[in-house]
Amino acid sequence: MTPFRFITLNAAIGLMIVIMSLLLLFSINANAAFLSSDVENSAQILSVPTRSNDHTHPPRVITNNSVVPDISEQFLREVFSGKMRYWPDGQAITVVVLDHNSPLHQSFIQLRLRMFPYQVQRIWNKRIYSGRADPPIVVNDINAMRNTVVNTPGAIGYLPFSAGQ
Amino acid sequence: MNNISHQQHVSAMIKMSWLTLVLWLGVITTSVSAEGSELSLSDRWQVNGFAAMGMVKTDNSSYINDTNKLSFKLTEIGLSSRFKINNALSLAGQVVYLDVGNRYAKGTRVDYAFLDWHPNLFENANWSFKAQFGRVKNNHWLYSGARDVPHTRLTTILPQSVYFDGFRDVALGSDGVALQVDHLSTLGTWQIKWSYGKSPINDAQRDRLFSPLATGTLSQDYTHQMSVYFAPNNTNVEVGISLLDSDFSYAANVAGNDPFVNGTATSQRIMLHGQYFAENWELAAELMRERGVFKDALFAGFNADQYGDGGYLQGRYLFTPQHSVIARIDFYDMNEDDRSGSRIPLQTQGVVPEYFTYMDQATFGWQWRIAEQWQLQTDVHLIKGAGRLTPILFPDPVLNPNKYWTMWSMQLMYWF
Repeated sequence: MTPFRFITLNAAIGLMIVIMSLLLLFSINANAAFLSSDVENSAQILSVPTRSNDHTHPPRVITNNSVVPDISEQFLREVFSGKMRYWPDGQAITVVVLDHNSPLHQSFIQLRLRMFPYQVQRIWNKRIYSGRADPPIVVNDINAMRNTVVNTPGAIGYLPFSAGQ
Repeated sequence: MNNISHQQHVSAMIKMSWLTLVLWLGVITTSVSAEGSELSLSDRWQVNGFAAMGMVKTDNSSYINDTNKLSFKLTEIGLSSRFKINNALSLAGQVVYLDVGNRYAKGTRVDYAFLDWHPNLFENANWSFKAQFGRVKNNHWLYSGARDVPHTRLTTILPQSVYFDGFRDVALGSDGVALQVDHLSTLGTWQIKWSYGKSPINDAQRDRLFSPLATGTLSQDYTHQMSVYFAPNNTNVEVGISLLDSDFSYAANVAGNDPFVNGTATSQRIMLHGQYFAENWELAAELMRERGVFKDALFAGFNADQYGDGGYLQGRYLFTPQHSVIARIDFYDMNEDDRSGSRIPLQTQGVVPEYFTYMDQATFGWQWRIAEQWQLQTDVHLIKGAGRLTPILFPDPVLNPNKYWTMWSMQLMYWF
C-alpha cells in the first residue's frame, strides 16, 4: 500500500468540499462586519465605510475627476486585481499604486481590499506573465500618486487617511 | 502517403505561425493609425522577463537524467512583451527557453502570442468580456497560465498528478481562441472561461508522449476547455471546476520503419480547484479525473478505455514576507480499476512492474525572497511510483528500478 493509496477521488472531493465550506463559513463570519454599501465621493476622494472596531484608518481611495464614483467594494477589489478594466461610464481604468513594500500599499491591500499583499502580488504576476494584463503604474510616493491620478483620465489610486482631512 | 501526411502537418503548422504573424501586423498597422497618438510608446509597450537556474538530483529515476548524477538542467528563461494598441486591443507574446533534462524537450518556444481584445461591451460595469486570438494560454487551472514562470509557483516542480510534465507542451496552451466573462454578483465574483484550439507537436515531444521508437506524426486534432470559478464576496476563497476534451491522432511512417500503426487517442478531464488565502498561510487543492481512450496506434486492433484520477493538497506558511515553507501531498492513479497496478505485470509478461501505474508524492519546500526581484527556492520530493514518467506507453524499468525514489532541487530566480 502506498502512503496515499487510501485516498480515492471521491473521498478527496468530499474532503475538499468540507475544507472549503469551513473556510467559507469562517471567512464570512470574520468579514460579516465588512459588508459595505457603495462608496461615496467627496471631491475625488472615495470613502468606503469601515469596520466599527477598526483602530487604524484605512487609506482613502482617490480617482481622477473624470470618474463617476459609484463603485462597490467588490468592484474596487477587482479593479486592483486587474480584472475589471472599465468604469461604469465606460471609461478605461488606470490603476496607480505604490511599491508593494510600501506600508501604505500594504495597508490599502489589507484594510481596503480585504486581501493580503502576497496574494495580490501573485495575482498580478500571473496576469502579467501570461500576457493578460498591463501592469499598474507604480509611483514612488504619495505626491506622485496624487499628481498621477489627477492628471490621468480614468485613474484610481489611494492616499493616507489623513490626506483627505 | 504517410510522408504526405507529415508534410501536410508541417505545412499546417507553418501556416498557423504565419497566420498569427499576419494577424498581428494587420492589426498594428490598422489600429495604431486609427487610434491616434494620445498614448506614448512607453505607455503602449511593456516588457517583462524572468531567468532561473538551478540544480536537481534524483535517485533511482530517469525523471531528470538517465544517470542520477547532479544536474544543472533546471533553466527557465522567458521574455514577454505586451503592446497596447488602444484601450480595448493589445498584443501579447512570450518566448521561453527551457532546459530541464528529460522533463521537456530542450529548446526555445513561443509560449504565447495573441491578440487580446477587452472591449467595453456592457453598460453594467459588473460585467466584463475579453477574448484572445492566436497562441493562447491554458488559464483554466490554478497554475497553468504561468506554469513556466518560476516566481509564480510555490515549488520548482509542480504536482505531477495535475501538471504532468509529459503533457506540458500540449496542456500549456493552443493555437486558437479563448473567451472569458467576469461577473460581479451580489454573491460574489464569477469567472467563466472557454477555449478551443490545437497545439503543434514536434518529434521530440512525440517521443516523450508516445515512444522514442516512433517515426510517424503525432498531432493534436483539437483541445476544448471550459472552466467556471467563483469567489464569494468578502472572502479570500476561490473554487472552480474545469473540463477538458482533446483528440490526438497518429499517422504511422511506414517508409521510415515505424513499428506503430495509424491510431487515435482521446483525453478527457474534469477538475475541481480551490484555494484560500490567510494573512500568514494559504491552501490550494486541485483534483482531477481523466479518461484516456486509445485505438490502434500501438498495433492494429489495440483498444483501451480507462479512467485515472489524482490531485494534490498544498499548504504554505509565511514566517515573514521573505521566508515561507511549503508542504504538499500529491497522488495519482493511472487506472481506477487497477490502482495497485497488479494487472500490468501480467499484461506485459512481467516486463513492466506494477509501480508504473501510480505516483504518490510528498513535497517539502522553502522559499526565500532574497531581494525585491530575486528568490531562492528549494524542494525535497519523496515519491512512490513512476506513473508520471515519460514515455507514457513505454515505461523503462531499467532506468527506474525502484518504486521509491527521491529528488531535491534548488533554483535561483530573477524577474523584471
